[in-house]
Amino acid sequence: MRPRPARIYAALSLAGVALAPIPAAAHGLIGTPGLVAGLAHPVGGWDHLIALILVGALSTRFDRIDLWRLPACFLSGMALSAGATLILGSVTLPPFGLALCVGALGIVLALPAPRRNVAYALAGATAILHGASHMIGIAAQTDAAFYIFGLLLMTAALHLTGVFAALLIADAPRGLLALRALGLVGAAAAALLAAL
Amino acid sequence: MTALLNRYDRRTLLSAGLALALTVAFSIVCLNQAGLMPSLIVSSAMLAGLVCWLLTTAKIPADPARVIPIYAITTALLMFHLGEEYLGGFGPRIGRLTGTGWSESEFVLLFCFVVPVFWIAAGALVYIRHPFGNWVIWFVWVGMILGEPVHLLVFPFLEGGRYHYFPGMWTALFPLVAGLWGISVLIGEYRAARGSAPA
Repeated sequence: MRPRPARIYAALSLAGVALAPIPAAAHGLIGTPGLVAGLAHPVGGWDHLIALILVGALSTRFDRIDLWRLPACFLSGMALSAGATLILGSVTLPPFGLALCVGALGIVLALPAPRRNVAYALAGATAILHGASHMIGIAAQTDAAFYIFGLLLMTAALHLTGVFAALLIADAPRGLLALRALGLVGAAAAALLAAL
Repeated sequence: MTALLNRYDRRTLLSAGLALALTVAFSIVCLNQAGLMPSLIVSSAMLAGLVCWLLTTAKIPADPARVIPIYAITTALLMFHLGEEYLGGFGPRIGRLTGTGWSESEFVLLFCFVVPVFWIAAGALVYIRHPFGNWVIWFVWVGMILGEPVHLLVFPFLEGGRYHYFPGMWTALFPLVAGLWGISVLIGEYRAARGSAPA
């Protein structure tokens, strides 16, 4: 039987979760887990930065509604994952999960006709991994809510950076080709992150 | 709001959106690494640059032949200034003052390898009269005016309260002068272009 696309996407998501994160490179808690620490966290490491910009850029490859829906999918997935990790306690996960997700996002962005479902599944898997890894070392306390809020705010700003940059690049002559090349650069960066 | 949006084309509006998103992200990077004061200077320069750009060269892009040489001189002087900062351990000293623990390698990575990517790309974008490049040159030049005097007027007092040498103060005025020159040319160009534009 030919596997149905939905099964492939589900398998992809689960594989992402199973591979899951070492503490993402965006890490090391800055001070106490308040709003500023949450804001600063995503820009503290390359993997998170690249992943968030790639998610924003990827959202421009589909319909106009996906410009906010794909980043919103990432944000909600990350919030749920961060909340669950906070309640259940920190997770210990094997390496390369995050770099793999970043690489896959880059490759999907580089495809001539990326599938929307693959993009959403990848964004969801990456969000779950990042949400869990960001909460490592954060205890359930009042400030944790502010920390997650800051995390989400900064993540949204980086998604927007990716969206606006990709729309500008796509507007230029041969812009789509340049945008796809950017995806390959993202994938190469992910490979570099995994190697380092 | 609609009337305001109608004043600019799609590329300019997208560039403004990207500028705002980058302002938030880069300000937080600076807050995280260098502390509140450097972050406030950078974010103020980015926002002031955005306003100045929207009021001037967002509508009529600057003539690349006039502004790129001054922009290149500014960035060259800025690299010279960063060299002095590096030699004097600017990053770690600011990190100690603000309590962020900014290391020398983080300072070098950010200001010698990451930020210059934007400076160089902006030069190319100004050459093709792209609105985003025009915002970057406004931000860089406004940043010189807001940021460089701090090296002479504020930083030397921060360690112990007595005025003394602080890394970067000897070369701070060079990029400031280039910034003033660039802004005067930008405004002059804009006024001339507006004056000659058909009514």
